[in-house]
Amino acid sequence: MNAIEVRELTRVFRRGKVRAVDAVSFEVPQGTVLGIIGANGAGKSTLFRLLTGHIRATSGTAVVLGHPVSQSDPSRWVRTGYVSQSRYLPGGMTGAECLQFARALRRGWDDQKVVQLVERLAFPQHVRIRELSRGHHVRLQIALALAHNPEVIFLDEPTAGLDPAARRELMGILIDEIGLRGRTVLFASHTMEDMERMADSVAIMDAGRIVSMGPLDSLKKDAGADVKPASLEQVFFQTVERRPE
Amino acid sequence: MELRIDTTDGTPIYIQIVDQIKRNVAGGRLKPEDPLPSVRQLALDLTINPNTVARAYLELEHQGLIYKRQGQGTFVCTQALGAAKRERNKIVSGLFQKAIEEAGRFGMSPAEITAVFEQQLQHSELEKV
Repeated sequence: MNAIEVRELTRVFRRGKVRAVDAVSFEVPQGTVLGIIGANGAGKSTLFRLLTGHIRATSGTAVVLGHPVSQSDPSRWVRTGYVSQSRYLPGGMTGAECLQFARALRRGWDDQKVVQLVERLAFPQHVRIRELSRGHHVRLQIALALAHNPEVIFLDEPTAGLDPAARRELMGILIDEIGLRGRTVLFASHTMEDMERMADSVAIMDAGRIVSMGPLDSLKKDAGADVKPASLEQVFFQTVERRPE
Repeated sequence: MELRIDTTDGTPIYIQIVDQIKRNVAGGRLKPEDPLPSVRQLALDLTINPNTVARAYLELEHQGLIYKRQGQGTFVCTQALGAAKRERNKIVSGLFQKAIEEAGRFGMSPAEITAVFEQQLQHSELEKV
């Protein structure tokens, strides 16, 4: 069964001048990790915002856990978790206050899990959010995104700004989400090693389109080059460079 | 048993795990009925997707090297040693094959190749049988 199904999803900005996401189609089977890589401005974050209902699609459809994604459907907050790249959390609150606030709003909140997450992620709970470093802000976002045991987890560059210990801890948390709970993960990162380690399949985005997609092993095998690439980084550069203008 | 993976190697991670477990069995570091780490534990140790570990274990199960005991975990099969040794012989034969072909291109005779081989064997740190 697919947890995510996307058909010809498109979002244009500036009256059609910019096709940020351009006729993208893919599916993510339940319990698997789809990694998304692409240069800055390739459309990854817009894709995440479309799939989480933060912005509307210009055309095409996105279905998450059997429901079409829509801004007016509050159930999407219950069944999905999202770590975005923007610092949207209220700066005047402390981390602990923010967690308390979210707890009141979100069905399925798991107090025991929050205690574990806070311990594993180790961020200062009693400092105002505006004073948190990028890394600590991300850690708080991760705790907020997973506290209600969502079935689908959207992670938009979660490891950017994390120190090596926190990155490893996040990977450990994800390993449990996938291995113990069978969660589905959509994971964008510029760190190719994260992808090599965590992704079941990888999609390469360029100028709003998915230019290549598949299990990592087949991407390496099918790369249309004389020298078969050994790493995802090589696959990425071969794929993006070979794309006709 | 210590496993290592190399993400820039080009060999799929699940195959790296399969190969290393086979090597551990063939080398006697893993014995029949020894337990393997759980999927979760190995995924955490190597910081990789647990689906990849599960895939490696499934592959080893298909090849008859390991088996699952309901609720107790995964263990090395009694026949695993034979299978792993056959696999080991295949890998080493392949390496020798390459060396012999290379020697052939240098125009070496079988006697010369044997001499070089024996010389190398004597220099090596392998225990004399």
